[in-house]
Amino acid sequence: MDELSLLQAARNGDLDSFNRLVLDYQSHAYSFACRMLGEPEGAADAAQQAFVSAYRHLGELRGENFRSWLLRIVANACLDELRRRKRRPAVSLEDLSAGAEEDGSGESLSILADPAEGPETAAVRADLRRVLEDCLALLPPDQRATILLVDVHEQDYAEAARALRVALGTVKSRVARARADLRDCLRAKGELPPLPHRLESEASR
Amino acid sequence: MNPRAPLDPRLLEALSAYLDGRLEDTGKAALEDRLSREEDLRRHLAELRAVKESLRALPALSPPRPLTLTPAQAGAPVRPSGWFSPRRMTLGAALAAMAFALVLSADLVSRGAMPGAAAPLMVENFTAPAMLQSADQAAPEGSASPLTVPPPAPTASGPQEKYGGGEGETPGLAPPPGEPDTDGRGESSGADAASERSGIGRGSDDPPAPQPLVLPDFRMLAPWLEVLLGSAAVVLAALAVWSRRRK
Repeated sequence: MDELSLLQAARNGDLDSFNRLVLDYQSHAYSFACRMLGEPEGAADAAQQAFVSAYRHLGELRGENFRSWLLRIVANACLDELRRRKRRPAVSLEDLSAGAEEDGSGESLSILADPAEGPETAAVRADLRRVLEDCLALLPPDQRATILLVDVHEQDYAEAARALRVALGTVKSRVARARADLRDCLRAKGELPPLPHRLESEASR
Repeated sequence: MNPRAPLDPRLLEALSAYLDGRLEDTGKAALEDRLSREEDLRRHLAELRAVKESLRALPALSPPRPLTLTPAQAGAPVRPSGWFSPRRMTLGAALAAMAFALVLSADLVSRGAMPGAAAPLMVENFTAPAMLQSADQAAPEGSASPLTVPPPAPTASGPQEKYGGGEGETPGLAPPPGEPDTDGRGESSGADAASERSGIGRGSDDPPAPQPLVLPDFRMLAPWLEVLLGSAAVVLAALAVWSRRRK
């Protein structure tokens, strides 16, 4: 059954059809929530609450991409949660990555790794990823949500603006500032040179 | 340009938008011109591109547990029943409103086409007062007011008993004006004639004349239809609003 049929069935109250959509999109929703909130359990709760909200408001989804609409709900849920907490994430994403690897849910690293690349290259990529996650966690929530939507989840500016209920120009400036801040953070942690350059230099040693 | 020095925010935005293909033609041409001349600016662009690509390469994370919903978590289904969907309610309200308008128009037209026939015709056929009125019209002039209740068929007790006269007479049950309290024979002759015509007060030996089956005509039904359809339109519209808000 394709996505439209599942959505139609879910609109008619078929929870099983909706749960098939949940399985398709749960990693997107969870990834966003995890990078926004910085802790796995809170992120899972926020993502699931977003699915509950999506199920109850499916009637409002008209002509819009389900993934974009879902990300909008997750983004707002996370920003609301962060405003409620009024504090920075208590758990480092570095710990989160380590935990994911330990509990077997860290297949993300193997997805990122090319089977043809050697262990050194894989290690460099893993390092970059950890540092990048840490740098992301340091961004202000509004910038973080924007850069996650645009660069990680590949939403265009208009979709991100709709999701965050801000002007297009605001998205544009937030993306630029977030990229510049991430660049500065990566540079400070010695991870800035583009990965291909770093891999070349590693290989030449 | 020193790549370590912060970029002018407008230039930074332009570089970032350029990366995303979001720079308009004039700005793009001007930026490309600068990029061709300034190596440091190219380095900034390369760094921003590296950041963007690194972000795109971030993998999706797996949730620690499936996020599927149980019926209890899902709560009320999206639509408890297809019949109560807002769309159906709205459509029903619109149809009822249209039918109401049609019936009302037809009613007004039919009344306008028959001046002087504003009262529903069938009232004459169905209601007792109307029958009595026709009887009064047949009676001698001045014999009874239009509101006079015709006496029933003569009985052994006579007119006094009819009006509660005699012993234990109840106030308020006096005979109507114009009808003698003691001798109602002269008055009753016309009423008797009317009674004969209308079948009231016939003797038990006379079989009642068969009443013709009269079907209600449109002008009699129209007010009821108007009330029914108008109410349906209002109720359905209210349900549509309620179900939309509930969602």
